[in-house]
Amino acid sequence: MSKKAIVVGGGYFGCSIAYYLAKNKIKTILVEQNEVGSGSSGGNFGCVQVQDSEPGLSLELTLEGYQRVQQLEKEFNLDLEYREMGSLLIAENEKDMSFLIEQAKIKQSWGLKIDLLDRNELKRVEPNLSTDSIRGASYCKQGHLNGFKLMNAFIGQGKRYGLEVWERTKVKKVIAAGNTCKGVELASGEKLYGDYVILATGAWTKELCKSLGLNVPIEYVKAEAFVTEQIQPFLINYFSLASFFTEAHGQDETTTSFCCVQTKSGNLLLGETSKPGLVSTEESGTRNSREHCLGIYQEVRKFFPSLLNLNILRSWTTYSPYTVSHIPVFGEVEVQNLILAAGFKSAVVLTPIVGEIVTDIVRGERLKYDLSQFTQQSRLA
Amino acid sequence: MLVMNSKEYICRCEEVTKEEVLQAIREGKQTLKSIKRATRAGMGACQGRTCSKLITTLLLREGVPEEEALELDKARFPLVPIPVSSLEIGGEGDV
Repeated sequence: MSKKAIVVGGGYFGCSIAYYLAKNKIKTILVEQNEVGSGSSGGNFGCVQVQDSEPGLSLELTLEGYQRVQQLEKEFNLDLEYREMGSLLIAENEKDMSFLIEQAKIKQSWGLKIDLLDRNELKRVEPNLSTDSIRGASYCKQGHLNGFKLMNAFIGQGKRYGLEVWERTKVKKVIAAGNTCKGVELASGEKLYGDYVILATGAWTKELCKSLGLNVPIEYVKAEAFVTEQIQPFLINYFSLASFFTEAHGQDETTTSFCCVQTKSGNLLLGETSKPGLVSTEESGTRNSREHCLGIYQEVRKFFPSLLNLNILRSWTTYSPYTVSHIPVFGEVEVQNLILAAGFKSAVVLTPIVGEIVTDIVRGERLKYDLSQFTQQSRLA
Repeated sequence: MLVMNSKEYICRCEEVTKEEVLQAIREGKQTLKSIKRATRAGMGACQGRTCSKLITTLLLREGVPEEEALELDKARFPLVPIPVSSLEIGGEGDV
């Protein structure tokens, strides 16, 4: 009899895990509280990030994932709007520049091709950038795609292999007997049982694991962004600030750490302000802040003043999960038959490799990677 | 001379055709939000002011339950397009 898996969460990881499981003959149900792509994955910019990965296993998986993501359009025979795109990490002061130099050294030793750029070189790589306030940058080739198309592709292809997708279905709690996970109880009271439960539930993971006595160190910030009207090709690379790593995602303070990217359709995505907050699916608490408006205005004026007349069409917020250690909570934890997959630093790039690894766990295969550093963070109380 | 084609456009801002919307519905999309994410209909300058009614009609006609078909997409700041320069607003709280 084929094994049965329940995947909770319809974001990047839930969708990819569900796809790889179904493809490998695991009977899979994906349960999502709202709709596929309606949480933090839907608010994501679609960058296939390589440069920002933490040295070690995270980077190793990122490099594996990067190879695989580039093959997905061919595998699915679908247009995901994938393009190769450079990534610029900008330093505005000496402290951030030393951080970039140090990071580049470490990551180069892992085989990543990172170039350090001075202002003149930066001007060549990103001609419309105003470099007055910039000290330097690090540059790395990565990719960009349409995240909604990616999630839809995983779901659509998964359904061909029998994947069931239950949207608008909230999980109330994880069911366990002793230290073994048995299934999930839905808000409706209905119970779903399976051989494995996989929580790809981002910012909600900590709460869902509480009743199991499992302490999961996933925190979250409320992140805010804008999308502009479409324009001619203007921005070549994904643009972000080194201060994101040196300052943002703090636990107490609100910070604006500007990043932007131009999509294949020509829209510019402008973010982000992060603020520690409570996870909420309600309307209140999901509105954008005045702080964010002012912060983004100031950053655009500084880096891309020619965009000041560009129209903003829409704003959004997400609950962006992270771990203080910068490494994810990923793998089989102390509760048997429960797999956690959340708190990844970059999502899109890791989707295929995470889906493959979860499938190997469920199938009982010997794992190619030792995930203990990712799972040890989550302990039973 | 204006060249016309026979396509029926549902979302003028993003140039999404009726066929594309119907395809998304066939793939299981049942709400304005999910159709927007799949096709871009409603992502443009008017933020769905014109196409949302047309899409709702198509959803109902294709037999999607009213609860899903009539669910509105969230209206969000800034409601009408505004230039980046006008974000220079201070103060606390939300927009």
